[in-house]
Amino acid sequence: MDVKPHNTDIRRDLVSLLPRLRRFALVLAQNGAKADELVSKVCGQALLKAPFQDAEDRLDLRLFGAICSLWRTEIRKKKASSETVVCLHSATTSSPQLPMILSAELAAAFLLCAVEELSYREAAAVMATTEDSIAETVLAARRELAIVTESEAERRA
Amino acid sequence: MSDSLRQPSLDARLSAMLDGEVTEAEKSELDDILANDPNAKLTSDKLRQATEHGRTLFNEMLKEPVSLSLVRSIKTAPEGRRALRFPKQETVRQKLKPTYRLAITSSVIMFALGAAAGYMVGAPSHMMTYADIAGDPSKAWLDDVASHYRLFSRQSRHLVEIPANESAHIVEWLMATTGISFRIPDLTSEKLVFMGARLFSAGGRPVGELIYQNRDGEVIAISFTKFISPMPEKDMRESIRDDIGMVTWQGLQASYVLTGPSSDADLEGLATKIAGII
Repeated sequence: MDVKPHNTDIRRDLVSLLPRLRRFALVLAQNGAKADELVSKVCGQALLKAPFQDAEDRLDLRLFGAICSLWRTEIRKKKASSETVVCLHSATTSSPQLPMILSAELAAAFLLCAVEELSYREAAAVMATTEDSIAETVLAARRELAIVTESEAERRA
Repeated sequence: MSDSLRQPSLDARLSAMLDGEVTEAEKSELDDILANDPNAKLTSDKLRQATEHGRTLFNEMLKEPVSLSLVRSIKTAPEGRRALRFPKQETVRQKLKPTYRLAITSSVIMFALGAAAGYMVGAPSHMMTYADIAGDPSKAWLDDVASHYRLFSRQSRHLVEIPANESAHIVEWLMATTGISFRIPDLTSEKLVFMGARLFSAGGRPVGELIYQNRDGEVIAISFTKFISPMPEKDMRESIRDDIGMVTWQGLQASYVLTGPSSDADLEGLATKIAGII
């Protein structure tokens, strides 16, 4: 029988990407509710813009980039309203629930390159920075993680 | 990799190697260093272990549940539409120069139209057709299927009427009752176990239902009945009713609906597979 799905559209792709999008948003926002808000906004925008997008574009990269951009915009807005915010380049630690020992930016770069396995070029496009900066950030993240790994190994011993 | 990273510190080069961001020549050079320099080997091992540790932590994050309301809002969102603007046609403006006779004639026509419209709106409606009373048949059957699913999917001991081990009887029984020939799809590749079947009435018609369960105990049901819609549709349609997701389609002789939890992201993919088997 020749039955084709009616909704072979972006919605299904978005739903299957949600866990990864939420993880990336959580790394940046370091707060579950805020991460959900970021993901929700970005998915809403993606749905609206779906007919205008090039089908060859990788949806996950586009959405990671959109989350990063939206997060930065919100940080800027908060700064403008002189609230206490996490600085983009500061080495603030994450909330204790998160398995992150890294600042938002280190964690995001590490996540993109070492976990999502993006190239430095792709990660740089997502984070709106240079490949050199990504390489340095990933290295810094590895150094921080190495310290934690060592101290955990010592504790176990 | 960019030029500025070609001669950075050793650990920067090792980190880039872990990410597959070095050329073959750089990789063999680093392999030589690692083979001859124990300190370099130690640094490389530390970075590798740190990477593995980080990956484990990040993969743990994927186990956190995604907001169900977010999944629903995406699945039920309308698709974006392209805004099309047609080229404007040049309109020729005609100046009105009503004559005395034209004005009177128009007034009389407008009065007659107004009076007729007023009479039709004001007159009590006596015309209630059977179709009005019955409502939309396809909506009625889906309403009944959803209510039935909501009720029985919470039953643990009485999930099915005929258990899966009586497959031959299930096929014979449901074919005789619904008038639809079908096969019981084997969905073990989708991690679904066939539990058995039920028969119920939806939209005033007998409906056969094949019931499956996944590893989490969630119930997925395939319901079918003789054609509901007079205009068969080939496309699948997905809808969500609270916590229930439904995918409907038309076969050669029947209307089908796959029902499951709305949080199931690939209900439609499963429906496509079933449509090809059943």
